[in-house]
Amino acid sequence: MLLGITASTLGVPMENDPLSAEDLCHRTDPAAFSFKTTAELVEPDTWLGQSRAVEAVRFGIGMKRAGFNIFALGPTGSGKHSLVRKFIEEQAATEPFPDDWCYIQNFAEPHKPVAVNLPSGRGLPFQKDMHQLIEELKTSIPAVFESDDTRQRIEALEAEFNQHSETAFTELQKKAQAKSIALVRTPVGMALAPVRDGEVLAPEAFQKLPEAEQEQVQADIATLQEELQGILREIPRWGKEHREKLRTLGQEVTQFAVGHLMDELREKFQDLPAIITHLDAMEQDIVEHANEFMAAKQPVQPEVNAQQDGGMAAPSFNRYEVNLLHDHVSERTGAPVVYENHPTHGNLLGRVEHMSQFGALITDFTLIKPGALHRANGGYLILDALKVLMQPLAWEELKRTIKSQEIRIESLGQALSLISTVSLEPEPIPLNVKIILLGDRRLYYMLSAIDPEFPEIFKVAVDIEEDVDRTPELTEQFAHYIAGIAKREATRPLDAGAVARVVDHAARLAADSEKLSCHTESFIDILCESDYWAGKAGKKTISTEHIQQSIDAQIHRADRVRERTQEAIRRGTILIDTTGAKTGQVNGLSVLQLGGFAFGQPSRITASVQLGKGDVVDIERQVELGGPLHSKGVLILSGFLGERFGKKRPLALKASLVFEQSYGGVDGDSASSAELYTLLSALSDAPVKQCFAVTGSVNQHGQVQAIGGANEKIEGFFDICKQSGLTGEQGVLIPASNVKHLMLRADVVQAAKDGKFRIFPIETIDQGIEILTGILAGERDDAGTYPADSINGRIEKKLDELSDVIRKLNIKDDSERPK
Amino acid sequence: MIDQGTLVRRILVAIDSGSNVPAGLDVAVELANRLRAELQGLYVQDDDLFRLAALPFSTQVNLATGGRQPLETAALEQQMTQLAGSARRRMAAAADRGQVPWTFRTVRGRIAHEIETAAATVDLVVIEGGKHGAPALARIGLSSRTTIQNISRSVLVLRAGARFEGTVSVLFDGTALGEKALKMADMLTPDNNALTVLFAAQEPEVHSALETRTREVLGHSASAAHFRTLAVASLKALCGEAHAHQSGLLVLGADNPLLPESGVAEILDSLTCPVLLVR
Repeated sequence: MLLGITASTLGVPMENDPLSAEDLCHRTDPAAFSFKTTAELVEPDTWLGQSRAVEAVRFGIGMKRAGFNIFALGPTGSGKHSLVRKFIEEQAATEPFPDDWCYIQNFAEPHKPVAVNLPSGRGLPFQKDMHQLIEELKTSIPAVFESDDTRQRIEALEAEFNQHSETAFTELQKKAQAKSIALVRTPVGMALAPVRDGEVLAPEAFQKLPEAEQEQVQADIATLQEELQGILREIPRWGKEHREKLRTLGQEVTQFAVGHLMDELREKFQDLPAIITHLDAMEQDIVEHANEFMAAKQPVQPEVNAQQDGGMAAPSFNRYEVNLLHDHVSERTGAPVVYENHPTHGNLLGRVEHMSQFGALITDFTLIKPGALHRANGGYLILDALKVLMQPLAWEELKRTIKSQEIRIESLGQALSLISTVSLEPEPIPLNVKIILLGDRRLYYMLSAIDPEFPEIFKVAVDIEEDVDRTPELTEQFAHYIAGIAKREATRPLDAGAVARVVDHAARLAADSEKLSCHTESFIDILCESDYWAGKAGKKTISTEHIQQSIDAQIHRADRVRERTQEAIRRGTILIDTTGAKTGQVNGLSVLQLGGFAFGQPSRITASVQLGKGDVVDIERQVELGGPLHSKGVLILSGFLGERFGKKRPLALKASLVFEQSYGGVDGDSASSAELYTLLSALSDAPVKQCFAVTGSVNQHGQVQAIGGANEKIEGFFDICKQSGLTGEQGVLIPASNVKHLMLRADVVQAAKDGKFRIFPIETIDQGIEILTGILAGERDDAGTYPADSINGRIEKKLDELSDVIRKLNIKDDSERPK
Repeated sequence: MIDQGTLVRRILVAIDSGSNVPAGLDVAVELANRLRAELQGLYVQDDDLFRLAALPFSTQVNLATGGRQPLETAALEQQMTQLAGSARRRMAAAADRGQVPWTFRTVRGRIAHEIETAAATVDLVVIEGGKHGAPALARIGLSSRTTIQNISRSVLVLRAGARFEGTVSVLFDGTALGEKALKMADMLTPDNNALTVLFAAQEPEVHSALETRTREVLGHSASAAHFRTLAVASLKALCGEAHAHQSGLLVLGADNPLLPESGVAEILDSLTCPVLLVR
């Protein structure tokens, strides 16, 4: 400005300077780094720019009260898992091994296995000892039964039993023989028959006997039959007594074989009352079931054959075994840190498996399989929140378990009352575990909003930043962070230039030249791919070209749709002008996100104006292709028009806005400034230069506001201009507040540097319309009037004309109305 | 060369009228298989039982319930027919498994007489006693003992459920029947097993002579045979030796002096393996 004279007052637009090449991309100078390659760097101990999250993790780990479980919230791929785990493992290594938990047989109620805990490291010896005991008993019990002494005692009992029945039958036979009666076997039993000369008396011979003798024979037989019945009645009792004596002998003998072995175990586990109680019950059970050990000695068919043949399976001694749920000591990691990648109900809480035997499903406590909570008990369990939520009942059971602080194994069928078969009810195990859930922010806030229990049991939020400030200190730390990734992923070291390029890429990922993205997964990919290209080139270090090659390759693999879109524009299928000027037509810019790749593309926005009642019609909205944010942007245009032009007269217009050749949905308000420019052009009848594309949202006062995807949008229009030939006139109007976000491609920056492409930072609509039309926007003078040739002046004139037409039409209508 | 005197072509398996299980069926099938002999099943419908059933006061005591029930001829016939049919099916199945030829017939008469009669047409008779350690009723009965004594053919006596497995032991006393027993034992010894030859003679020269004769009788098989001498020339020592070496079959001549009249029953009371009395 000179002597208070501005371009505006002279009736020509004020010259807006495009952004310089330096403003378009903030490059990192490799010389700023003090290292040659990342091999010289060590991974930082701290979490890059995540002081809030680090503090929260430390607090969450240290706080041992119930409910202070951790929810680490951050975007997928931000490395929250590995970082949270690193802190937890450091802490866990300083904590003691938790107790060993085992399931053992409940001899009183076999369907309710007993849970016992042993000091860490003693579970495995206990399990081995018990297995060894059973193996020894399989030999020693049969051996003691087969000893001469035992055999003699058994034979004596057999003889005693036989003697009973033999004496009784011998006596009966003697009595019968004395009366010429024989004891004979019939198909179903025994009978007494009169005999003469060794043969049963024939009926005719019997009839010839004197009547008295006949009666005597019958009476004798009746008497002997009663005695026979008496003997037969006694035989079961003798058998029972005999079996009882054999059982008693068996128990006595078994006790002898088992006692000293059990005593050794009692001595070994004397400090553990629960184990002693179990050993007592087990000894009693072994003594009562010694016959099973005898049967075990007999050769049996393999189980499969037994099943097929319908035979009997070998006796099972599983009830004497120990089901050690987890052996922490063998891992030698201090307190356990467990990550369950597949958190189903069963994988979390454990399950009771079954096995098929003779067509039936059977189970016992040895088939209880521990879940992640068992393995993590006494330590830390890391879970992906989304995975837990997607598994049936897993979330509900996890919450219930955390609240009740005990792990109760229950199948899904039981939990849903779908299965009523008899299964096991294992004794719940006390739970002492810190749960760490990993998830994105949306999930965290959704759970906080809809699940009232969630805030009670996940009190510690570890909010992970998606990006950090691009300060010199943090950039240096970022280099160490990249070095850490390179070491973990075993890639070649990066030279300083490569690190600088990664830093720039991080800024681009953050879509902000003053920020660095913390999306670890992206850097891992870039480093691994760069390592591949460096390897292909036979280099020992990764340099800038390899980083660029991997970025370009990533884009190339994903940009098929972008190429097709650009091709359609080049071939005129999609109509986009990059030269000339058109009234009521502006190149808007939008971003398409396809998978992990986003690109910008221009869209032609047109407006038409006609008589109406002040409506701005959003055609996208009318056909339900426009989202709510887009509609909001269009409604703001009405507000702007009303604010600026509607104070003197009603707006007697109807304006229609449309994204030409748009067949999908449109959302967001980033095109609202472009739509306003289109409308203003149509109202003022001022052609818009098609060498420009526009992005930015606008408020009711005409201020242009920041939008997202500025880099992609600029590059999108640049590519279209480039394919039709850069003229030096072409460029993009962006909100001034987006300048700090620019991290443009090198070719765009170079074109800007060469004066072949321009980026204009815009603060107001007036500023923008002047660049687009080359006509002064115009400001109201003291009389409240815009200059006649200005954009605003032309619009006021147009609105006056429309208003007059409406007024005349209304008078005519009134005169024609019948009185 | 096969000695025609020791050739066994037919084996009789007798079935008591109160049973549906052919006596020692499995052992008989194994024996028939090794000797390439034919099995002859014989079910005897006991005439004595029909006589008893015809008496006006005939009743029987049911072993399962201990209760009395009438013994009626019609029911008896029906039951015996069923038992015979069942026994026949069992025999057919076992013989088919063992791949031996077989016949089966049912006769009516007195058991001992019918068995003795049938025995005259065969070379070996299988007679089953009761289970080892079972009550007296289930043990080998007097009629069986009499039958064993009266049959002129070789008799295989065994307990119910006995198996023919393990080694074959033979008691050789130098007599003609002893030699026949030796040859039969050799024939029954599986190729992969060694025959155990027992001697009761305590005198060295007698023992030596017996061993020499054994080698002559057995020929080349003698090289694989084991020779043992009983500690005492007694039935108890014989049983002890058979038990100690887990004999699967004990073979001896029916006229062996170690066998008293009650010898077979005594051996069966002490042994679990079958005993073959060679005649």
